[in-house]
Amino acid sequence: MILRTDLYAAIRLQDRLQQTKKADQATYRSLIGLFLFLLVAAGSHYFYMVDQVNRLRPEAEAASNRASKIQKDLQSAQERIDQQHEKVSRRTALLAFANNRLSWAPVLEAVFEVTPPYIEMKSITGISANQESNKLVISGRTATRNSRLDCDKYRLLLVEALSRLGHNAEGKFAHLEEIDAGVKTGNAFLLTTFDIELTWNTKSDGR
Amino acid sequence: MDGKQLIQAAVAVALFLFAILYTYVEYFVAPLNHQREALQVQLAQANNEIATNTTQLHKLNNEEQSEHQNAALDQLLDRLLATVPAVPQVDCPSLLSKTMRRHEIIGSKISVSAFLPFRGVQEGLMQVWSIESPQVNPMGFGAALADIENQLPMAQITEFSLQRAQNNGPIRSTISVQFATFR
Repeated sequence: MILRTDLYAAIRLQDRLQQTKKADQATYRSLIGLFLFLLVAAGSHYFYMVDQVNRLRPEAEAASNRASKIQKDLQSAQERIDQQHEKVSRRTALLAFANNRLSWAPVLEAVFEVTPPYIEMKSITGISANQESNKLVISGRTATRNSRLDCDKYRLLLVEALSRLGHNAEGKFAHLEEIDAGVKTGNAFLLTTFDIELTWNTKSDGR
Repeated sequence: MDGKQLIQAAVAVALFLFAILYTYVEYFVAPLNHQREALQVQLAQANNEIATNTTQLHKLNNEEQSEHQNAALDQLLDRLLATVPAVPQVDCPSLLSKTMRRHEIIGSKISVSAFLPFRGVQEGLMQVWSIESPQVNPMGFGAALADIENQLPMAQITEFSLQRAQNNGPIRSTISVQFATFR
């Protein structure tokens, strides 16, 4: 009778079981290691993110505060500039009024200066509208040998007198008439009545 | 552990890891990331605003500084405004009447004829005063005109006339003078 008995079977089985157990333990350890590694990595990442946020927050707050302070400064500067613009436009208007006004006294002086003795003035009228267009109307009469020509000479004298004052004036007769029966001093003399209209623009004079 | 158990364990571990990762990303990383992005946007906006407003502020300050150089114009204006009658309704008639009398023009009638707005000056008002004189001599009239113009640089004689009504009769005159006044 042959008895075949594997005397080492139990031992081999135990070895296999131990090997399997060891392999399982190694797997568990690996898994735990992996888990711990992931935990440490995630924790580091999380703290890195928290640190970034914590650094950014005061920086952003400081920048916002500075921006709002500058905004306030800008608003107050803008208000000051608006007031300044108002002041400047007021000053410009007032100085322009003083600068552009026409002084009639020198005009009148120049007119009287160039008026020859043979011209009799009946009226003189000056109008200055809106500090721009100015008009001077001189009405009068004369009785000379060439009274019509003398009236024209007078007109030119007036234009010249105004141009000496810096006014680019135009002079024309609004009325010019020879009256035969006006003066009884002989046939050679005629009475001529006239209205001379002188116009000029202060703005175009560059004043 | 046989093959089937191994697969089950691997799937369980994978699911566990996915769950852990999802929880971490969704509940820890994502809010922090949103917060960081929002702060970065806030910082960029604030810096942009600072840069723009600082430039604008410098521009306004320069404009303000440049206006300080016009102090001479302000002084000139102050001197001109000092000549404006303080109470026009009271001061103008007496001033004009005195001026006419100084040049031997007697009996002048002085009246206010119009009130006009002053273009470009909100509180400004133009008062137009008329002076009618029954008898003047031309030289005295010219001197009176010059006197008014010298005393009142903020006034404009808008109209005047000298007229002899009849031969050898008296010469009558009228003057319209526009005063700049302030409310």
